[in-house]
Amino acid sequence: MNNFNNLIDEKLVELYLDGEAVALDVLVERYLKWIYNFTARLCGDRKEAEDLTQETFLKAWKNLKKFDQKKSFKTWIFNIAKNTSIDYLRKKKSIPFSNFENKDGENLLAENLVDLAPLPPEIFERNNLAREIEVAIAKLPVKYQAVIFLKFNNDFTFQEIADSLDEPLDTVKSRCRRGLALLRKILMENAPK
Amino acid sequence: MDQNYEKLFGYLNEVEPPQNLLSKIILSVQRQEKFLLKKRCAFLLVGWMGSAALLFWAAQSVADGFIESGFLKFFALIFSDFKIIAVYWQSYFLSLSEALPTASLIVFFVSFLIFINFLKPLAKNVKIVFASARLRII
Repeated sequence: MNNFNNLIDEKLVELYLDGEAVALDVLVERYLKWIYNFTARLCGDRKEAEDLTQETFLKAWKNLKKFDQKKSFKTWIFNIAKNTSIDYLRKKKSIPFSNFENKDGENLLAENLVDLAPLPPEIFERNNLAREIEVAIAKLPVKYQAVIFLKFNNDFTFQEIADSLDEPLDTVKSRCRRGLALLRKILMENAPK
Repeated sequence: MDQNYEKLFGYLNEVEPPQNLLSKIILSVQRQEKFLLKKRCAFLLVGWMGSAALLFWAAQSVADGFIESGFLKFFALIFSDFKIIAVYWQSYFLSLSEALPTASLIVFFVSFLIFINFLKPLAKNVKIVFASARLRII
């Protein structure tokens, strides 16, 4: 298994399809934490995230033969994770309604936030900042959360995010900007008085 | 701008997945693989048995065809009247080919191909099933 750890994802897929079962184990181990974190953030429930992570990898395994090895495995599996999470939220009928969306799903506040100002330094001095950030992010629309997590937690490029979420590049950049603007607003509103 | 926000996300704790999640996922994939393997074996076994029955029927059909068409009697002339056959060999072989139960033969060869096409993957998959059963025992 040590030899396989140095191989790129697409090579591991090729090896698995050629009958090398260990290659799949390496791929699962490689992406487990990322996918688990991603689904946990989107669905807001760690117990459910376990099931969603398992479902993501099972779906990936079932469709491995259809995977285009010229494309990125990373964006492909995150696309599966996103769809799995969204399906779960839809079944639960609890796609979090953001306070910032109207009934048509338009985020009017984000539309009006023209400029993304940097965060004031005092934010970083708060106690329990990690918890505040988690609560603030949970208030964002799911589609903004997905972009922000992939960008800042997983260091995806905007193109990789666009490929993972099946969205146009400009949409992804715009959602990132708007998501951060909303996040800033929420954090500023929670500033200790 | 991004660096400011990157610093913010640096405070966010990454959640560690449960320790048994990796083995749980791998086991569930293995379970699915075994289930699909058994399903494939069952399908191939049924297909193979059906093709074996078809092959048996086709073989009987060919045998009956050879007998009814008189091919065997024509063919036996090679041994009993070789000199005459040697003289009129063209007409002989023409008559012989006309007496061939062609349709039955085609059905027989097609059945045989189907039989082999089910047998090869069946043998391969059964071998995998036994190999994994042996590994479980070990």
